[in-house]
Amino acid sequence: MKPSILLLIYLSLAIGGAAGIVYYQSTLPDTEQMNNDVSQKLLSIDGLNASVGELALRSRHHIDNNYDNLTRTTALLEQSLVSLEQRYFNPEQLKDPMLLRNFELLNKEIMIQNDLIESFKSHNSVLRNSVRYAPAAGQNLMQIAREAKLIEAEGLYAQVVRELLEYALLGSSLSEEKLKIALPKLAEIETALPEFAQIAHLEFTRHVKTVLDEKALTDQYLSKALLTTSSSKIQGLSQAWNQWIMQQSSQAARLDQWVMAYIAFLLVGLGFIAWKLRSLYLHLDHEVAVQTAEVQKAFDDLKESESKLVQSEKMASLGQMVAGVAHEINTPLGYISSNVDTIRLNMGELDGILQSVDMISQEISQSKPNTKKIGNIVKRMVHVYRSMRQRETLSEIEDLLQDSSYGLSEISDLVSSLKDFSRLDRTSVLDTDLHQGLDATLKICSSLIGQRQVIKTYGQNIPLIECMPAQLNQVFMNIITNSAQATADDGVIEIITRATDQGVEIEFSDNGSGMSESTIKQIFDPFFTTKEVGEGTGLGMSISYKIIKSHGGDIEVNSLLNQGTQVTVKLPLKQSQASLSVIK
Amino acid sequence: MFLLNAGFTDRQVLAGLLFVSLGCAKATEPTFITPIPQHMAVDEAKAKLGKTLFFDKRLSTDNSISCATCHDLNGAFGADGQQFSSGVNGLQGTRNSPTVFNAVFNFKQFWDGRAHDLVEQARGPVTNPVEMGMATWTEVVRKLADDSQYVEAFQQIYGQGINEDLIVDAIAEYEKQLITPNSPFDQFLNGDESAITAKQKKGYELFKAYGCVSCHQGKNVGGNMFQKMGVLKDINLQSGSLNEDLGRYEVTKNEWDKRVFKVPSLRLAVKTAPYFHDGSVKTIEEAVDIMIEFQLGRTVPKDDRSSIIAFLESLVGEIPEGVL
Amino acid sequence: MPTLADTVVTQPRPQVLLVDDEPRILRSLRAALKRDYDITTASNGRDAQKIIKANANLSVIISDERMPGLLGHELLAWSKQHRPQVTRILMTGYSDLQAIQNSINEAEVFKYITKPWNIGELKAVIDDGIIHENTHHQFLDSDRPEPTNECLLAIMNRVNSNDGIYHKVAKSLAKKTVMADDIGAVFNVLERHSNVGVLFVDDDRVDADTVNTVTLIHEKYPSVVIIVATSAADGNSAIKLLNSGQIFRYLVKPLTATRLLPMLQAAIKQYEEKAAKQAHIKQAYSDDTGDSLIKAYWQKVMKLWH
Repeated sequence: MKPSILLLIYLSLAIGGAAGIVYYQSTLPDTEQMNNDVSQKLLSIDGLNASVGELALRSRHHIDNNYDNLTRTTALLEQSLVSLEQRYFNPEQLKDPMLLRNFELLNKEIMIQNDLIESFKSHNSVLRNSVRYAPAAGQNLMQIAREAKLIEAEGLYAQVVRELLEYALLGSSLSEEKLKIALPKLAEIETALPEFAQIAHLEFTRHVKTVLDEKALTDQYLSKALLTTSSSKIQGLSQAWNQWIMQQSSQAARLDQWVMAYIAFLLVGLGFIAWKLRSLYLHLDHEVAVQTAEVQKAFDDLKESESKLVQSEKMASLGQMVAGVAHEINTPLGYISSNVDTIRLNMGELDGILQSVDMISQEISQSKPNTKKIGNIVKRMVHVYRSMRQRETLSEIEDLLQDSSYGLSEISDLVSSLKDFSRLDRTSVLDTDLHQGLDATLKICSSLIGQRQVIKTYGQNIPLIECMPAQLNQVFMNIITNSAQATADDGVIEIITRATDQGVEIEFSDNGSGMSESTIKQIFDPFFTTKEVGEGTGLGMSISYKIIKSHGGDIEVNSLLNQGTQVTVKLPLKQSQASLSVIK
Repeated sequence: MFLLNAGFTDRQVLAGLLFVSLGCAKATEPTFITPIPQHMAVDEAKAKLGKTLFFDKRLSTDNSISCATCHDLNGAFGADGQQFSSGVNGLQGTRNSPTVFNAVFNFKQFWDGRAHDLVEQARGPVTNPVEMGMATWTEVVRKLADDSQYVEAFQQIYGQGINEDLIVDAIAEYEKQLITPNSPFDQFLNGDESAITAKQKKGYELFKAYGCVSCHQGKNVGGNMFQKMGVLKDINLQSGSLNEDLGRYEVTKNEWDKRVFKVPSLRLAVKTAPYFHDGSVKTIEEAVDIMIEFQLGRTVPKDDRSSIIAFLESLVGEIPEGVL
Repeated sequence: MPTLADTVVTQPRPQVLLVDDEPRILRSLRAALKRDYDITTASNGRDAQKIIKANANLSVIISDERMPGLLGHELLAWSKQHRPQVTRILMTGYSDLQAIQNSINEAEVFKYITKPWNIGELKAVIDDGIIHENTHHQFLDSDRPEPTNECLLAIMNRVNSNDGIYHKVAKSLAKKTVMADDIGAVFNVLERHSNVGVLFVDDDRVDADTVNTVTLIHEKYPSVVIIVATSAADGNSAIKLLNSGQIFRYLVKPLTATRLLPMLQAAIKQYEEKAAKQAHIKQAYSDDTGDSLIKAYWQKVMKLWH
């Protein structure tokens, strides 16, 4: 497998795993902090709960004379539960129904307990008041009874006060019974009392009754409050909590194990990938070195091949030129040499006539010429001559000589064109007559141009320009060759030269096949060619472009498909220093 | 609890504690009433915002009533002197407005104790149709949000936009400051024998002797428990209307909660007439009489009553500076 | 007594068509050749076609390659279709490889003459061509058994890279094929198998050695049809192979079986036609037991003496 794919898989696994763990962890509570907090709160609730009982007992027995502490404690207990509920024990936070139920039970229990405490407080206050007041009232009534000599009444008051105290302070059930028996008796003695004491008696009786009622109620509420199962509920909740926490911790521990396994997996994966990458890197390093070498080689090859191609383009144009020139020269050369042979042959016949003439002159010069012999010679001579005349040998010789002379002038022209074209005698930048170069190029291309009509419209007073004539001729030949190849055999190639403000403009136009937009765009690109493979290097126009640019000139191509092509070469009069160095 | 766990019976425990309590009673003077603190720790910024809200009539539907309308801090010691306060559109409630001073020391709020604290209390009146009469708290929030100063203040103090919880929190925070420390009696409790008059001292003794202190105890001289109206004498025998309101029963529906009310603080009793849950009793004298008769099963001579009232006057403290 | 001139005038002369767009060439050639041949000239391919069509007795066409309109090899290829017995000679000023290839493979020219020409050589080539077409006497391999219709294909593969193709082609041709990897082996094969009709030479380095070998084989076994394939195409050696080895095809690599197959089939056909012709001629000789030759000779002598 590719390391990149491996890395991708690894990364997706890593991210997926991490996301999974994070998600799972997010579903898990922060158990440690939570446990600390809840445990602490439960402990404090336990403590407050214990305090409530203790403080209630203190109030019951008048150790505390106000309820501030008790009230504050019950309030704190309630607040603790409320905050515990808000923080942890609500269905949004806690998904454990068991624990929620335990908390709800505790909450209810505490509420009940607090209600009982409130009831206790109310009744305890009343009881306390009566317990404090009743003995004093009883003593006051004992005094009145004593003064009124109501011994029985005095004794009853004393008994009631005693039993009341014993009942109130020690909670003796026997005293309670006695008090209950004494109450009707108290009602009986009311009438015996002096009138002023009757209200006091009634008040006393009411307070005694109150003590009897309220003590029972107070103790009932208090014991109920103390006996509420809130404590065990807290324990239950604590246990449930601990269990839950353990469960969570085990879950967390499991998660930890998973995380450890996951990290181990990641490390192993990472190690593997690192190893892979390392080997890949080493491989790559090697690859890169190889590739670099290859690229370097390719680059070198390309440079070499480019220079080879440029060379080959030169050679191709040279070859083309040579081919053209060879054909141009071989043709006259062919008939000249043939003509010479034919003439020599014909001269043999003439030689016979001349020999006959000689023989005749010899005969005549003798003292006694043999007329018959002369006659025979003349006869034969005339025969030969007639035969020659019949075969038009003499006019033929005339024609052949004329042709040969023409051929020789052709060859001579070509040779001088060749000289003009290549300008091998001129290797430096010179003031050059472009027309001379154009003519030489046309001459050299004449075999290629063939029957095509060449219209030369050379401008007047075209100045000499500073250039490398051989290079420019190469450009001209390139353009003319392209024109010739693009046009039909009866096509027209027009060359116009004109002087401009900047220098000279040479316009080549033809009525050939033209080029499409895309071809025009690529025409100066190296290796771009529309010719068959092997027919052109595709460098001709590219080199032409270079040459013209290096001369500080410009070359423009306009063409319409199937209409023709127009190539305009603009050349400056003088070369800048920079151009000069480039050209050379 | 540890005692219960140790396996004692309640009787044994009670007996043991009785012994302890008797020993203790002999050793020291029992502390029925304690002084209130000089200061309450509050968040000054929140309290300041709460104060603005406390006085802001925009909390009512017709912009006529603020908290301070019924809890007049300047003239009426945190109440309004009326039997029933007038809400929006002249509507009236059924219970007397208690003073807001020292309310922080009450174990529960409202006469029937239906609110656990000041925050819970403050939610009530705003949307009560006969009090401030706002339709919803959303409405309140929208109204306050029109005031860019509020928006800015809430943002600055709470770091969030205005909402119900923040409004009541701020008001409650302010109300914590509304306490009356340094009463003559508190100074007496702190050891200044000369802080109260002899009559007031006598009144305190009578206050204890008649048993008033059974319920009116603690630092707020009440306000830390519930009690039934008419524990020693049937309240139906009272000539007024005190028997009509079933009090906490309306909240709990427990039979034994009928006519049970929060024992009110007596710290500003002499300043906040009329009296009782329905404000039906005009004078302090009458109120003392009714209490001693129906709650304590006694009658009180005028001298004693006068002394007790003198004692009650010594409970009036100072309003701390800068809270009004 | 008949004069020399009379003899010249009265002799029946082969008809030669000269085609060139340069009038001076035509004039010069006419002047040089008119003593020995009946000369007709045309300045372009179209005119030449008309003349070829009209003249059934035409023996030789000598055409320039570069002409406006029809190119030389195109004209000759056309001529091959219409007058296959006419000897086709291409004359050009420059050895353009493509033109040479075309003239060998398409026009199946007899010889390729480069300008400037030597008139004596030109005449010899024309005479050769006439004899080549009319008598085929050079076909008679002196010391070799008679060719048969059972053609054998010999392949001289000096490259050893195209064996696969050759095996494939040989299989398709259903002709016995002998492979040889050097010159000695080729001569051996030709010695031992009288029925080798086609020799395929695969040589990437066509040098003087190859040219000489092919020339030797052609001289010794003129009935063998020779095809040369090379990757180093070169006009000059192609001309030499044609002119002195009379090769049937000149191929520039790469080779494929589909390209080779029709080529070899054409070569085999060529061989079979030649073989048939030769058999016919031989038959004629044996029938006349030399009389017709003597008759013809006597006729010539009598005419001279007339």
